[in-house]
Amino acid sequence: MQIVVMNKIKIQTYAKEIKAGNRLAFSSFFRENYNRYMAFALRYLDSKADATDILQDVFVKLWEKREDLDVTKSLDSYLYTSIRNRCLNFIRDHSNKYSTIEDDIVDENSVSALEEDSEQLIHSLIQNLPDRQKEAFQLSRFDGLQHDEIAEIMDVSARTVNNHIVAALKTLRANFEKYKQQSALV
Amino acid sequence: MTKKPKPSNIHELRNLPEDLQEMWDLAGENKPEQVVSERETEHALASIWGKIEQKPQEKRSSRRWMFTVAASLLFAFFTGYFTLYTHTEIAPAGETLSVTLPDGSTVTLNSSTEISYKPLFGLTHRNVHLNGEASFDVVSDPGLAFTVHSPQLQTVVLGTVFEVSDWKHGVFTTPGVQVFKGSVSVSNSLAEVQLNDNEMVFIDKESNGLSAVTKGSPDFSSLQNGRLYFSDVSIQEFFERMEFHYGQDIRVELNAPEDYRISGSYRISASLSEIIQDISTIKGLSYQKIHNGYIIAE
Repeated sequence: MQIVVMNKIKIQTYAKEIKAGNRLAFSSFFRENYNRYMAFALRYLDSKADATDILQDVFVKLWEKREDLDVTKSLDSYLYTSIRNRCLNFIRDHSNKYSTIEDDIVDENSVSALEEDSEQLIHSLIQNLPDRQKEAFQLSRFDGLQHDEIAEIMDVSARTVNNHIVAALKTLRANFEKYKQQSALV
Repeated sequence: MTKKPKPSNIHELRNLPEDLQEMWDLAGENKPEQVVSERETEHALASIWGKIEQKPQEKRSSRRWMFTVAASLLFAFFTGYFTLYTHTEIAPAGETLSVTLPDGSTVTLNSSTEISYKPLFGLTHRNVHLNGEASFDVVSDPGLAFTVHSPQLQTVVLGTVFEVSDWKHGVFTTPGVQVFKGSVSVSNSLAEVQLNDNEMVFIDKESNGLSAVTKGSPDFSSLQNGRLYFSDVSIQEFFERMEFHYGQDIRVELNAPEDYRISGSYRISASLSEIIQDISTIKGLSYQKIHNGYIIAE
Protein backbone atom coordinates (compact mmCIF):
# COMPACT_ATOMS: atom_id res chain seq x y z
CA MET A 1 0.00 0.00 0.00
CA GLN A 2 2.80 2.34 0.98
CA ILE A 3 4.50 1.74 -2.34
CA VAL A 4 1.27 2.15 -4.27
CA VAL A 5 0.54 5.47 -2.53
CA MET A 6 4.11 6.70 -3.11
CA ASN A 7 3.81 5.84 -6.77
CA LYS A 8 0.56 7.71 -7.08
CA ILE A 9 2.05 10.86 -5.60
CA LYS A 10 5.06 10.48 -7.85
CA ILE A 11 2.93 10.02 -10.95
CA GLN A 12 0.90 13.13 -10.12
CA THR A 13 4.12 15.11 -9.65
CA TYR A 14 5.12 13.93 -13.10
CA ALA A 15 1.71 15.01 -14.40
CA LYS A 16 2.33 18.57 -13.19
CA GLU A 17 5.80 18.70 -14.71
CA ILE A 18 4.60 17.28 -18.02
CA LYS A 19 1.79 19.80 -18.11
CA ALA A 20 4.39 22.54 -17.58
CA GLY A 21 6.32 21.26 -20.60
CA ASN A 22 9.20 19.56 -18.77
CA ARG A 23 10.69 17.14 -21.32
CA LEU A 24 12.94 15.43 -18.82
CA ALA A 25 9.96 14.63 -16.62
CA PHE A 26 8.18 13.15 -19.63
CA SER A 27 11.18 10.97 -20.50
CA SER A 28 11.68 9.80 -16.91
CA PHE A 29 8.00 9.04 -16.53
CA PHE A 30 8.10 7.04 -19.75
CA ARG A 31 11.19 5.06 -18.73
CA GLU A 32 9.74 4.21 -15.33
CA ASN A 33 6.31 3.14 -16.56
CA TYR A 34 6.62 1.86 -20.12
CA ASN A 35 6.97 -1.75 -19.03
CA ARG A 36 3.79 -1.57 -16.97
CA TYR A 37 1.74 -0.02 -19.78
CA MET A 38 3.16 -2.49 -22.29
CA ALA A 39 2.18 -5.41 -20.04
CA PHE A 40 -1.30 -3.91 -19.86
CA ALA A 41 -1.64 -3.47 -23.66
CA LEU A 42 -0.46 -7.04 -24.18
CA ARG A 43 -3.44 -8.29 -22.21
CA TYR A 44 -5.57 -7.16 -25.13
CA LEU A 45 -3.23 -7.64 -28.08
CA ASP A 46 -1.10 -10.62 -29.00
CA SER A 47 1.29 -8.64 -31.15
CA LYS A 48 3.95 -6.59 -29.40
CA ALA A 49 4.43 -4.56 -32.59
CA ASP A 50 0.79 -3.47 -32.56
CA ALA A 51 0.97 -2.71 -28.83
CA THR A 52 4.12 -0.65 -29.43
CA ASP A 53 2.35 1.43 -32.09
CA ILE A 54 -0.59 2.08 -29.81
CA LEU A 55 1.62 3.15 -26.90
CA GLN A 56 3.55 5.47 -29.22
CA ASP A 57 0.33 7.20 -30.26
CA VAL A 58 -0.86 7.48 -26.66
CA PHE A 59 2.39 9.06 -25.48
CA VAL A 60 2.73 11.41 -28.47
CA LYS A 61 -0.82 12.58 -27.76
CA LEU A 62 -0.04 12.96 -24.06
CA TRP A 63 2.76 15.41 -24.92
CA GLU A 64 0.77 17.29 -27.53
CA LYS A 65 -2.23 17.69 -25.25
CA ARG A 66 -0.17 18.25 -22.10
CA GLU A 67 -1.59 21.73 -21.54
CA ASP A 68 -5.08 20.27 -21.29
CA LEU A 69 -4.06 17.69 -18.66
CA ASP A 70 -6.22 17.83 -15.57
CA VAL A 71 -3.64 17.32 -12.84
CA THR A 72 -6.35 16.84 -10.22
CA LYS A 73 -7.23 13.58 -11.96
CA SER A 74 -5.07 10.48 -12.06
CA LEU A 75 -2.65 10.49 -15.00
CA ASP A 76 -2.36 6.75 -14.56
CA SER A 77 -6.11 6.17 -15.06
CA TYR A 78 -6.07 8.52 -18.03
CA LEU A 79 -3.31 6.49 -19.70
CA TYR A 80 -4.89 3.14 -18.86
CA THR A 81 -8.16 4.37 -20.33
CA SER A 82 -6.54 5.67 -23.53
CA ILE A 83 -4.54 2.48 -24.00
CA ARG A 84 -7.57 0.30 -23.37
CA ASN A 85 -9.79 2.26 -25.76
CA ARG A 86 -7.20 2.16 -28.50
CA CYS A 87 -6.62 -1.55 -28.01
CA LEU A 88 -10.35 -2.28 -28.17
CA ASN A 89 -10.73 -0.11 -31.29
CA PHE A 90 -7.80 -1.88 -32.84
CA ILE A 91 -9.37 -5.27 -32.16
CA ARG A 92 -12.67 -4.01 -33.60
CA ASP A 93 -10.96 -2.76 -36.77
CA HIS A 94 -8.90 -5.91 -37.18
CA SER A 95 -11.53 -8.45 -36.25
CA ASN A 96 -10.13 -10.91 -38.78
CA LYS A 97 -6.89 -10.86 -36.83
CA TYR A 98 -8.38 -11.00 -33.37
CA SER A 99 -11.35 -12.95 -32.19
CA THR A 100 -13.95 -10.58 -30.81
CA ILE A 101 -14.36 -9.97 -27.11
CA GLU A 102 -16.74 -12.62 -25.90
CA ASP A 103 -17.87 -11.79 -22.50
CA ASP A 104 -19.01 -14.88 -20.72
CA ILE A 105 -17.68 -17.78 -22.66
CA VAL A 106 -15.10 -19.72 -20.71
CA ASP A 107 -13.39 -22.77 -21.98
CA GLU A 108 -12.35 -24.58 -18.85
CA ASN A 109 -10.98 -27.48 -20.82
CA SER A 110 -8.29 -25.32 -22.32
CA VAL A 111 -6.37 -25.60 -19.07
CA SER A 112 -3.90 -28.20 -20.06
CA ALA A 113 -3.44 -31.23 -17.86
CA LEU A 114 0.27 -30.73 -18.30
CA GLU A 115 0.23 -27.56 -16.22
CA GLU A 116 2.78 -28.52 -13.62
CA ASP A 117 3.18 -25.95 -10.91
CA SER A 118 0.38 -23.95 -9.36
CA GLU A 119 1.86 -20.73 -10.69
CA GLN A 120 1.45 -21.93 -14.27
CA LEU A 121 -1.96 -23.28 -13.46
CA ILE A 122 -3.17 -20.01 -11.95
CA HIS A 123 -1.85 -18.15 -14.96
CA SER A 124 -3.99 -20.29 -17.27
CA LEU A 125 -6.98 -19.99 -14.97
CA ILE A 126 -6.70 -16.18 -15.02
CA GLN A 127 -6.40 -16.21 -18.81
CA ASN A 128 -9.64 -18.20 -18.98
CA LEU A 129 -11.69 -15.88 -16.81
CA PRO A 130 -14.52 -14.02 -18.55
CA ASP A 131 -13.06 -10.88 -20.13
CA ARG A 132 -14.60 -8.26 -17.86
CA GLN A 133 -13.76 -10.23 -14.71
CA LYS A 134 -10.26 -10.76 -15.98
CA GLU A 135 -9.76 -7.07 -16.74
CA ALA A 136 -10.98 -5.88 -13.34
CA PHE A 137 -9.07 -8.57 -11.52
CA GLN A 138 -5.76 -7.91 -13.27
CA LEU A 139 -6.01 -4.13 -12.83
CA SER A 140 -6.63 -4.62 -9.13
CA ARG A 141 -4.18 -7.42 -8.44
CA PHE A 142 -1.31 -6.67 -10.80
CA ASP A 143 -1.55 -2.92 -11.36
CA GLY A 144 -2.57 -2.09 -7.80
CA LEU A 145 -5.31 0.26 -8.93
CA GLN A 146 -8.16 1.38 -6.67
CA HIS A 147 -11.72 0.33 -7.44
CA ASP A 148 -12.71 3.85 -8.46
CA GLU A 149 -9.79 4.03 -10.89
CA ILE A 150 -10.70 0.68 -12.43
CA ALA A 151 -14.32 1.85 -12.63
CA GLU A 152 -13.21 4.89 -14.61
CA ILE A 153 -11.03 2.83 -16.95
CA MET A 154 -13.69 0.20 -17.61
CA ASP A 155 -16.51 2.73 -17.63
CA VAL A 156 -18.61 0.93 -15.02
CA SER A 157 -19.46 1.62 -11.35
CA ALA A 158 -17.05 0.86 -8.51
CA ARG A 159 -19.60 -1.63 -7.19
CA THR A 160 -19.53 -3.51 -10.49
CA VAL A 161 -15.75 -3.57 -10.30
CA ASN A 162 -15.93 -5.09 -6.85
CA ASN A 163 -18.45 -7.67 -8.09
CA HIS A 164 -16.21 -8.57 -11.02
CA ILE A 165 -13.20 -9.05 -8.76
CA VAL A 166 -15.05 -11.16 -6.22
CA ALA A 167 -16.60 -13.22 -9.03
CA ALA A 168 -13.15 -13.67 -10.56
CA LEU A 169 -11.77 -14.90 -7.24
CA LYS A 170 -14.68 -17.32 -6.84
CA THR A 171 -14.21 -18.69 -10.35
CA LEU A 172 -10.47 -19.02 -9.81
CA ARG A 173 -11.01 -20.77 -6.50
CA ALA A 174 -13.56 -23.21 -7.92
CA ASN A 175 -11.45 -24.08 -10.96
CA PHE A 176 -8.33 -24.35 -8.85
CA GLU A 177 -10.06 -26.86 -6.53
CA LYS A 178 -11.46 -28.77 -9.48
CA TYR A 179 -8.05 -29.06 -11.05
CA LYS A 180 -6.37 -30.08 -7.81
CA GLN A 181 -8.91 -32.89 -7.39
CA GLN A 182 -8.45 -34.05 -10.95
CA SER A 183 -4.70 -34.17 -10.68
CA ALA A 184 -4.97 -35.99 -7.35
CA LEU A 185 -7.01 -38.66 -9.09
CA VAL A 186 -4.46 -39.15 -11.84
CA MET B 1 -9.98 -19.23 15.35
CA THR B 2 -7.08 -16.86 14.97
CA LYS B 3 -7.51 -14.06 12.56
CA LYS B 4 -4.88 -13.89 9.88
CA PRO B 5 -3.74 -10.35 9.14
CA LYS B 6 -4.73 -9.45 5.62
CA PRO B 7 -2.13 -8.19 3.20
CA SER B 8 -2.38 -4.45 2.97
CA ASN B 9 -2.70 -4.37 -0.82
CA ILE B 10 -6.31 -5.49 -0.69
CA HIS B 11 -7.27 -1.93 -0.12
CA GLU B 12 -10.95 -2.24 -0.83
CA LEU B 13 -11.67 -5.93 -0.78
CA ARG B 14 -12.49 -6.02 2.90
CA ASN B 15 -14.03 -9.04 4.62
CA LEU B 16 -13.01 -11.40 1.89
CA PRO B 17 -13.72 -15.04 2.82
CA GLU B 18 -10.57 -16.92 3.72
CA ASP B 19 -10.56 -19.17 0.64
CA LEU B 20 -10.83 -16.19 -1.72
CA GLN B 21 -8.20 -14.36 0.29
CA GLU B 22 -5.89 -17.29 -0.27
CA MET B 23 -6.65 -17.25 -3.99
CA TRP B 24 -5.82 -13.54 -4.10
CA ASP B 25 -2.46 -14.23 -2.46
CA LEU B 26 -1.71 -17.14 -4.80
CA ALA B 27 -2.54 -15.10 -7.89
CA GLY B 28 -0.08 -12.44 -6.77
CA GLU B 29 2.78 -14.68 -7.75
CA ASN B 30 1.59 -14.40 -11.31
CA LYS B 31 2.39 -10.74 -11.65
CA PRO B 32 4.01 -10.21 -15.04
CA GLU B 33 7.58 -9.01 -14.80
CA GLN B 34 9.67 -7.46 -17.49
CA VAL B 35 7.97 -7.45 -20.89
CA VAL B 36 10.24 -4.84 -22.50
CA SER B 37 14.00 -4.47 -22.25
CA GLU B 38 15.76 -1.22 -21.41
CA ARG B 39 16.85 -1.07 -25.01
CA GLU B 40 13.28 -1.38 -26.30
CA THR B 41 12.19 1.34 -23.90
CA GLU B 42 14.93 3.72 -25.07
CA HIS B 43 14.11 2.92 -28.67
CA ALA B 44 10.40 3.60 -28.13
CA LEU B 45 11.16 6.86 -26.31
CA ALA B 46 13.45 8.05 -29.11
CA SER B 47 10.79 7.28 -31.65
CA ILE B 48 8.15 9.19 -29.63
CA TRP B 49 10.34 12.30 -29.44
CA GLY B 50 11.00 11.88 -33.16
CA LYS B 51 7.28 11.86 -33.92
CA ILE B 52 6.66 14.86 -31.68
CA GLU B 53 9.38 16.91 -33.33
CA GLN B 54 8.25 15.99 -36.86
CA LYS B 55 4.89 17.62 -36.30
CA PRO B 56 4.65 21.40 -36.75
CA GLN B 57 4.89 23.51 -33.61
CA GLU B 58 1.68 22.98 -31.73
CA LYS B 59 -0.92 25.67 -32.00
CA ARG B 60 -2.47 27.41 -29.06
CA SER B 61 -5.82 26.00 -28.12
CA SER B 62 -8.33 27.16 -30.67
CA ARG B 63 -10.65 28.86 -28.22
CA ARG B 64 -7.88 31.06 -26.97
CA TRP B 65 -6.82 31.72 -30.53
CA MET B 66 -10.34 32.69 -31.54
CA PHE B 67 -10.63 34.91 -28.51
CA THR B 68 -7.38 36.68 -29.39
CA VAL B 69 -8.51 37.24 -32.95
CA ALA B 70 -11.91 38.51 -31.87
CA ALA B 71 -10.41 40.82 -29.27
CA SER B 72 -7.86 42.20 -31.74
CA LEU B 73 -10.44 42.80 -34.43
CA LEU B 74 -12.69 44.59 -31.99
CA PHE B 75 -9.88 46.68 -30.64
CA ALA B 76 -8.50 47.44 -34.11
CA PHE B 77 -11.95 48.57 -35.17
CA PHE B 78 -12.01 51.26 -32.49
CA THR B 79 -8.43 52.41 -32.45
CA GLY B 80 -7.05 51.72 -35.88
CA TYR B 81 -4.01 49.64 -36.49
CA PHE B 82 -1.76 48.96 -33.52
CA THR B 83 -0.20 45.93 -31.92
CA LEU B 84 -3.23 45.12 -29.91
CA TYR B 85 -2.90 41.57 -28.78
CA THR B 86 -0.81 40.15 -26.00
CA HIS B 87 2.62 39.32 -27.39
CA THR B 88 4.13 36.07 -26.24
CA GLU B 89 7.64 34.90 -26.94
CA ILE B 90 8.78 31.39 -26.09
CA ALA B 91 12.26 29.93 -26.02
CA PRO B 92 11.81 26.15 -26.42
CA ALA B 93 13.84 23.62 -24.43
CA GLY B 94 17.45 23.62 -25.53
CA GLU B 95 17.31 27.07 -27.15
CA THR B 96 17.71 30.70 -26.13
CA LEU B 97 15.97 33.64 -27.70
CA SER B 98 16.73 37.37 -27.82
CA VAL B 99 13.77 39.73 -27.99
CA THR B 100 13.67 43.50 -28.40
CA LEU B 101 10.66 45.01 -26.66
CA PRO B 102 8.76 47.98 -28.17
CA ASP B 103 10.51 50.42 -25.78
CA GLY B 104 13.95 49.29 -27.05
CA SER B 105 14.81 47.17 -24.00
CA THR B 106 16.29 43.79 -24.81
CA VAL B 107 15.60 40.44 -23.17
CA THR B 108 17.46 37.16 -23.55
CA LEU B 109 15.26 34.20 -22.72
CA ASN B 110 16.90 31.04 -21.46
CA SER B 111 15.72 27.57 -22.48
CA SER B 112 12.06 26.71 -21.66
CA THR B 113 11.14 30.29 -20.85
CA GLU B 114 8.08 32.30 -21.78
CA ILE B 115 7.57 36.05 -21.67
CA SER B 116 4.49 38.08 -22.56
CA TYR B 117 3.33 41.68 -22.51
CA LYS B 118 -0.01 43.29 -23.03
CA PRO B 119 -0.98 45.86 -25.68
CA LEU B 120 0.31 49.45 -25.44
CA PHE B 121 3.60 48.32 -23.87
CA GLY B 122 5.93 51.29 -23.74
CA LEU B 123 3.05 53.77 -24.01
CA THR B 124 0.94 53.26 -20.93
CA HIS B 125 2.91 50.61 -19.07
CA ARG B 126 6.07 48.52 -19.08
CA ASN B 127 4.86 45.28 -17.49
CA VAL B 128 6.14 41.93 -18.67
CA HIS B 129 5.10 38.50 -17.44
CA LEU B 130 7.85 35.95 -17.16
CA ASN B 131 7.85 32.23 -16.48
CA GLY B 132 11.43 31.01 -16.48
CA GLU B 133 14.78 32.70 -16.69
CA ALA B 134 15.77 35.80 -18.63
CA SER B 135 18.36 38.60 -18.67
CA PHE B 136 17.13 42.14 -19.22
CA ASP B 137 18.81 45.27 -20.49
CA VAL B 138 16.23 47.92 -19.76
CA VAL B 139 16.14 51.31 -21.47
CA SER B 140 15.86 54.10 -18.92
CA ASP B 141 12.48 55.82 -18.68
CA PRO B 142 12.02 57.51 -15.28
CA GLY B 143 8.37 58.20 -16.05
CA LEU B 144 7.45 54.59 -16.71
CA ALA B 145 8.72 51.85 -14.39
CA PHE B 146 9.63 48.55 -15.97
CA THR B 147 8.16 45.66 -13.99
CA VAL B 148 8.77 41.94 -14.35
CA HIS B 149 5.96 39.82 -12.96
CA SER B 150 7.11 36.25 -12.43
CA PRO B 151 5.31 33.44 -10.57
CA GLN B 152 6.75 34.24 -7.14
CA LEU B 153 8.49 37.58 -7.56
CA GLN B 154 7.92 41.09 -8.72
CA THR B 155 10.89 43.10 -9.96
CA VAL B 156 10.59 46.85 -10.52
CA VAL B 157 13.32 48.79 -12.36
CA LEU B 158 13.96 52.12 -13.96
CA GLY B 159 16.92 51.35 -16.22
CA THR B 160 19.39 48.61 -15.58
CA VAL B 161 20.81 45.21 -16.52
CA PHE B 162 19.55 42.30 -14.48
CA GLU B 163 18.37 38.72 -14.59
CA VAL B 164 15.25 37.03 -13.23
CA SER B 165 15.05 33.28 -12.68
CA ASP B 166 11.61 32.14 -11.60
CA TRP B 167 9.82 29.15 -13.12
CA LYS B 168 6.24 28.33 -12.27
CA HIS B 169 7.07 24.65 -11.88
CA GLY B 170 10.76 25.15 -11.21
CA VAL B 171 12.45 22.01 -10.06
CA PHE B 172 16.01 22.92 -10.85
CA THR B 173 16.75 26.37 -9.50
CA THR B 174 15.70 28.64 -6.67
CA PRO B 175 13.70 31.67 -7.83
CA GLY B 176 15.88 34.76 -7.71
CA VAL B 177 17.00 38.03 -9.28
CA GLN B 178 20.49 39.34 -9.85
CA VAL B 179 21.55 42.82 -10.86
CA PHE B 180 24.56 43.47 -13.05
CA LYS B 181 24.27 47.24 -13.32
CA GLY B 182 21.86 49.78 -11.81
CA SER B 183 19.25 49.02 -9.19
CA VAL B 184 15.96 47.18 -8.89
CA SER B 185 13.37 46.53 -6.25
CA VAL B 186 12.30 42.91 -5.78
CA SER B 187 9.30 41.74 -3.80
CA ASN B 188 7.29 38.64 -3.10
CA SER B 189 4.26 38.20 -0.87
CA LEU B 190 6.40 38.53 2.27
CA ALA B 191 9.24 40.94 1.65
CA GLU B 192 10.74 43.67 -0.49
CA VAL B 193 14.45 44.20 -1.14
CA GLN B 194 16.40 46.92 -2.95
CA LEU B 195 19.29 45.54 -5.03
CA ASN B 196 22.26 47.43 -6.47
CA ASP B 197 25.20 46.58 -8.76
CA ASN B 198 26.38 42.97 -8.54
CA GLU B 199 23.88 41.94 -5.93
CA MET B 200 21.38 39.16 -6.07
CA VAL B 201 18.46 37.90 -4.07
CA PHE B 202 16.87 34.48 -3.68
CA ILE B 203 13.73 33.18 -2.07
CA ASP B 204 14.83 31.59 1.18
CA LYS B 205 13.66 27.98 1.08
CA GLU B 206 12.86 27.85 4.80
CA SER B 207 11.38 31.22 5.65
CA ASN B 208 10.02 31.98 2.16
CA GLY B 209 11.44 35.49 2.68
CA LEU B 210 14.06 37.11 0.46
CA SER B 211 17.76 36.79 1.25
CA ALA B 212 20.25 39.03 -0.50
CA VAL B 213 23.85 38.05 -1.32
CA THR B 214 26.70 39.49 -3.35
CA LYS B 215 27.81 38.03 -6.62
CA GLY B 216 30.69 35.61 -6.54
CA SER B 217 29.39 33.73 -3.53
CA PRO B 218 29.06 29.95 -3.82
CA ASP B 219 26.24 28.27 -5.73
CA PHE B 220 25.92 31.11 -8.12
CA SER B 221 25.14 30.52 -11.75
CA SER B 222 23.90 32.98 -14.33
CA LEU B 223 23.32 33.69 -17.96
CA GLN B 224 24.86 36.87 -19.27
CA ASN B 225 26.36 38.02 -22.58
CA GLY B 226 25.69 34.69 -24.20
CA ARG B 227 27.57 32.77 -21.53
CA LEU B 228 26.50 30.65 -18.59
CA TYR B 229 28.54 31.51 -15.52
CA PHE B 230 29.16 29.16 -12.62
CA SER B 231 30.80 30.05 -9.34
CA ASP B 232 31.65 27.10 -7.12
CA VAL B 233 28.48 25.14 -7.80
CA SER B 234 28.14 21.44 -7.07
CA ILE B 235 28.52 19.05 -9.99
CA GLN B 236 24.88 17.95 -9.63
CA GLU B 237 23.63 21.50 -9.88
CA PHE B 238 25.92 22.12 -12.81
CA PHE B 239 24.56 19.15 -14.73
CA GLU B 240 20.98 19.94 -13.74
CA ARG B 241 21.50 23.34 -15.34
CA MET B 242 22.97 21.65 -18.42
CA GLU B 243 20.13 19.12 -18.63
CA PHE B 244 17.67 21.93 -18.55
CA HIS B 245 19.59 24.14 -20.93
CA TYR B 246 20.07 21.45 -23.56
CA GLY B 247 16.87 19.51 -22.93
CA GLN B 248 18.91 16.34 -22.50
CA ASP B 249 19.24 13.76 -19.80
CA ILE B 250 22.46 13.67 -17.75
CA ARG B 251 22.85 10.98 -15.13
CA VAL B 252 25.56 11.59 -12.56
CA GLU B 253 26.75 8.31 -11.07
CA LEU B 254 29.44 9.34 -8.61
CA ASN B 255 30.19 8.04 -5.14
CA ALA B 256 30.87 11.44 -3.64
CA PRO B 257 29.43 14.03 -6.03
CA GLU B 258 29.72 16.76 -3.38
CA ASP B 259 33.53 16.57 -3.76
CA TYR B 260 33.28 18.00 -7.26
CA ARG B 261 32.73 21.76 -7.54
CA ILE B 262 32.62 23.77 -10.73
CA SER B 263 33.60 27.35 -11.50
CA GLY B 264 33.85 28.91 -14.92
CA SER B 265 31.75 29.91 -17.87
CA TYR B 266 30.47 28.35 -21.07
CA ARG B 267 29.18 29.85 -24.27
CA ILE B 268 25.48 29.04 -24.50
CA SER B 269 26.10 28.10 -28.13
CA ALA B 270 28.64 25.41 -27.16
CA SER B 271 27.54 21.85 -27.80
CA LEU B 272 26.72 19.65 -24.85
CA SER B 273 29.26 17.04 -25.95
CA GLU B 274 32.02 19.70 -25.89
CA ILE B 275 31.11 20.68 -22.34
CA ILE B 276 30.82 17.08 -21.15
CA GLN B 277 34.23 16.26 -22.64
CA ASP B 278 35.75 19.34 -21.08
CA ILE B 279 34.40 18.70 -17.58
CA SER B 280 35.35 15.01 -17.75
CA THR B 281 38.93 15.88 -18.70
CA ILE B 282 39.30 18.51 -16.01
CA LYS B 283 37.72 16.45 -13.25
CA GLY B 284 39.15 13.09 -14.36
CA LEU B 285 35.72 11.56 -14.94
CA SER B 286 34.43 9.28 -17.66
CA TYR B 287 31.24 9.63 -19.63
CA GLN B 288 29.08 7.52 -21.85
CA LYS B 289 26.60 8.60 -24.52
CA ILE B 290 23.08 7.25 -24.05
CA HIS B 291 19.95 8.06 -25.98
CA ASN B 292 19.14 11.74 -25.47
CA GLY B 293 21.95 12.31 -22.98
CA TYR B 294 24.98 11.13 -21.07
CA ILE B 295 26.03 9.13 -18.05
CA ILE B 296 28.87 10.64 -16.01
CA ALA B 297 30.87 8.25 -13.87
CA GLU B 298 34.19 7.91 -12.10
